[in-house]
Amino acid sequence: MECMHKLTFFPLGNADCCRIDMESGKQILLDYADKKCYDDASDKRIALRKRLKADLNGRGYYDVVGFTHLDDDHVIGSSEFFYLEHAACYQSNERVKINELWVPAAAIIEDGLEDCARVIRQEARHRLREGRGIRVFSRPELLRSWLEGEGISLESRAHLITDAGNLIPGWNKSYDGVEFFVHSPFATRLDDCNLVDRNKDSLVLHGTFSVAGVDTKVFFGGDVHHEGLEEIVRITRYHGREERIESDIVKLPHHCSYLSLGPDKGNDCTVPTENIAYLYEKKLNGNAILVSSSRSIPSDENDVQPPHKQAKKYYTNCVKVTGTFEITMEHPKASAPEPLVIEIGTNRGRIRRAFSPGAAIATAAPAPRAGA
Amino acid sequence: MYMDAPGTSAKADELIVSKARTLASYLESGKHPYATLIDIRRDAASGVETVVFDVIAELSQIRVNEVLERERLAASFAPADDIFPEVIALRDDFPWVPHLNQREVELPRSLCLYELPYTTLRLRWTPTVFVERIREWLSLTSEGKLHQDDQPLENIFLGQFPPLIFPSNFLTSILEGGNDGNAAIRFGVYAVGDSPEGITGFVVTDPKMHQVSMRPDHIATAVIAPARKHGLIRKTPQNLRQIIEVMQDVDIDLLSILRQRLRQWKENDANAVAARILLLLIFPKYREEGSPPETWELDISGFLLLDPVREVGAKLGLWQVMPGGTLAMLIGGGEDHSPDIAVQIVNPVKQLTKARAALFNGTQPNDQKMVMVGVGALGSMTFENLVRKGFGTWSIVDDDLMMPHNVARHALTALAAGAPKVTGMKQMIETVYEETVVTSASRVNVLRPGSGEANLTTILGEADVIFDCSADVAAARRITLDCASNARRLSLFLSPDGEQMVLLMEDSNREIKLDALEIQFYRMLLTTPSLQGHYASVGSKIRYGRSCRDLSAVLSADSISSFAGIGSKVAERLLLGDSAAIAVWKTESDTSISATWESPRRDFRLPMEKFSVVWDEGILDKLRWLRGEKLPRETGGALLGCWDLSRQILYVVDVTGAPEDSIERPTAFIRGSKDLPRWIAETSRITGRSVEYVGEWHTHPNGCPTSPSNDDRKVFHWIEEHLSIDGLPPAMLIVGETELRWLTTEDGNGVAWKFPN
Repeated sequence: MECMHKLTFFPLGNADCCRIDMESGKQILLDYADKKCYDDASDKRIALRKRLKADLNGRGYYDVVGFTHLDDDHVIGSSEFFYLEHAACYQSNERVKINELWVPAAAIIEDGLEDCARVIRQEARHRLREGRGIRVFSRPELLRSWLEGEGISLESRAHLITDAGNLIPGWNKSYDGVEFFVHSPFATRLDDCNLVDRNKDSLVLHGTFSVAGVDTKVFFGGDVHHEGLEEIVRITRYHGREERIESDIVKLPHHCSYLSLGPDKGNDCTVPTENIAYLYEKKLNGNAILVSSSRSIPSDENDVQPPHKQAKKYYTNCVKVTGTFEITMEHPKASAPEPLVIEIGTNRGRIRRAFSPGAAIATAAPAPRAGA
Repeated sequence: MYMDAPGTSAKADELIVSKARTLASYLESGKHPYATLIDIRRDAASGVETVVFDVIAELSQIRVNEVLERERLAASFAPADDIFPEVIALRDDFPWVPHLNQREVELPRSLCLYELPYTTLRLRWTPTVFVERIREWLSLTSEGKLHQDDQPLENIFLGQFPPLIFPSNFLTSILEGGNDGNAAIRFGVYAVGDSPEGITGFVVTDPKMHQVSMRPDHIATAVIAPARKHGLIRKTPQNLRQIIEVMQDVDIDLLSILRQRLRQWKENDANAVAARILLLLIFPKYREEGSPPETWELDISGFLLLDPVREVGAKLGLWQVMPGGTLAMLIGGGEDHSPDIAVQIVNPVKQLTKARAALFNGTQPNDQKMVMVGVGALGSMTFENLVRKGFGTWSIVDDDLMMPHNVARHALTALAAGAPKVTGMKQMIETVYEETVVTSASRVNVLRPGSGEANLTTILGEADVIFDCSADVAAARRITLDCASNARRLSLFLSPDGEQMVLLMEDSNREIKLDALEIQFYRMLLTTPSLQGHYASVGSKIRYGRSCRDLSAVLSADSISSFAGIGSKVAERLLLGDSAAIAVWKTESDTSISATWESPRRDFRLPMEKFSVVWDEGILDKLRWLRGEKLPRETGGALLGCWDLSRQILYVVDVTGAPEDSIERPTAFIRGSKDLPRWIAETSRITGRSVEYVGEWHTHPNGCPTSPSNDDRKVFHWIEEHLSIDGLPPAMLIVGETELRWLTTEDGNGVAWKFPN
């Protein structure tokens, strides 16, 4: 199979970073969370910044960096890695530039953020003020008051705002080989809430990658919870856009949390809500690939944090006959996780399962010290 | 969902077969991320040990063949480690795909993983490589790419079965005639082998490839099935009944067809009842839905029915064998006992064609009309190489008989002794592949063709290329100068001791002719010290017969075959291009062979009153350079050349500069003689006495005509006096500013020749 596009999911524990390498040469990074504990030799999570820098191989930028939302497990470390335009302290030469920043509206309007989340919000606000290098996903009206507070008219920034139910401008299936449909954040959610719930208002995208007329559909689930996902599927079905919930590859939401399927964990297997069941049981194509960006499924039953084995059980059942469920920290094996690479070509997706010969591994790094 | 693997469960430490143990422990170590040990099994009776494991292969989401992400396999290792470990897919619905091994039962499927023999693979067998090959096989199979596009579709039977070799047009003629065509109904087959028990193969009658005296001893008959996408027979039939059942699936009533054909054979040919039957089932296949059927030789399944026609007819209920052996026809037909007719698989293989011979050699087939003059040691082997590469259609010309001593260094063997070499070569070469590539074999001497002259003239006249391997300068000259033909000429010959080989090739427009190339080869010897042994050490000779000339040089067969290999390779390459070439190969003491190439120069031919002179750009350059160096004084030297006295041609090979003791003045030149006799002797030795002193040359200053002065005429007279002692005509050359002038008579002004621009 000729590979045209490539998705790379990095093993970061319960954290996200997915790079999309387009056949056109463009690169998109969705989330950046360098969670590795660099002082702990037993930490098997990848050294993200080192790996990304190595892969960039001198290229100093990404075409797009998107943050699905501003939780730590999606942004941590980003203030040390990216060249940020809003403050000189983030502008050293070795930092990686962002041509276009994608954020949900929450990343503009939310207050009380700390650390990296605050830095990214400042950057997003700066870019929106400047009117370039940014795309905000939101119902436009939601941003009116913030913009007016800055002395900027909504109309002058409308071209930088994309509402749910639309394709992201600037990406064309026949020209770029991909189009992105925006599922979330959508209006009903943010309008109804005073408190911004970042997981619920996570950016959820559906990408259609095209190679020689063969489409491969990828659902990027962000960290959306079951209420949001249920609504996404319901609204999309309501509008008759079944193709936008059809998937060959799914980046499962929220690190395999049961809460992204339904309200109850269940004893053995989480029962999804009606429309979520429709998404996974009716709209997955053959030999589907489900990716859980998470730790290994824990044996500790009482762990409240994802991943949950009941959710895993549900997902694995969905791909039992044909397809595969992959956990980033277990690929290719839990003892030595590596980035999970999915090549997309004329035969749709294919997980790279190359085996590295021992000699190649041995000669790629210095040998241990020898001698008396 | 998974079938049982062979043997019964065992513990890892019970394993005895080393590879089974290595694989099990490798899988258990977890070093391979995509392979997991499931079970270890052992068959106590056979000692076969089986490792059951899961592998995860690299698979696309769209799959031609439904391989799953995780497949369970069982690898069985024989205790002697003398055959491939058999790898079977345990999933009970593992698809029917290309590259499966034939088994007696259809499931589980057995993966055909390797093209190399096990003895070779065993040298580098590691569990890692083994697992990786399985994963690769699954991955390629899922994408339908285990078959490359240019590869025939899979045979339904693999393995070591006796070959049934058939002509390349055989399938076409059967398919054209259909199940009722003559070609399908009956054709003769020879069994090949030491004895009826030791039959190693079968060959469909092809008189060209076999001695006509051989009589077909088997009957073959073909039945064509409708075209389909996949192979049909998935397990090995053991008897005729099972084959009949397979054909029923495609609506072919094989029983009736056989009954009808057997009846017909019996009626038409009393001998037929003793013959055994080869049954050919032809399954035209198409690769994709809607594509036309393809008829590869691999689409034939061949079965030898182990009973003769007499017994087969009886078991099919056609007749009854009476005491005494007569056959009594059964009215209305008797019972069908086809399960009692045992069958053995034969492996159908197509005869070699010229095109495929070229393919196997990595070259393109070529139909240039070649004439090979001389099929001695070097010629026969070079010729054979070119034919095996699919190069040329050939006429061969040689008047020699094959003598026993020739066999020591010839493509032919003693089978051809006493016969003309051309006859033996034609017979041998015609069995290389199906097509006739030797259009004529003429036992004729090109120098004295006699009654063969008209035929020879035609052959040479129609040729594209005349390949001279006669090892005879006279023959080469005759081919070059006396035959009306536009053919490009080349010569290939050995040094007398067989340790050097020379190739001379005309350009495709024949602007530089073979005789001129020969002359330039002599000059190459004079200027290339490493080659100066070419004629120096003439090998010893051995007497093979009673006549004075029954002597043969000592030449080593290995050197000749090495040179023949180079000769055929280079000749082919050069014949596909346009340039002329001169090259010499030489065996070195370290067994390597060195090559020296010389750039051919354009030749000039000047017909004159008594003879013609031939020289070339190389000579002209040297004369003009020597003249220029000495201006305004005159200079000169000796002319070195060789005479073709039968055609009155003087070939100028080289010129010497002025010996040290010469007198060179603006208006006079007196050639000295210091070192000249030694150099002329050396020239003669290096060139095998081909090149000698043939006259004098000198220059005239700028502005001075090249017409001979009185002094010049005196010099000419002096030359004539001396050369007449040797019986040779005199020649003198005067080189001026813009022309040169040849003098061949004392009176007259000779012939001037302007330098080309």
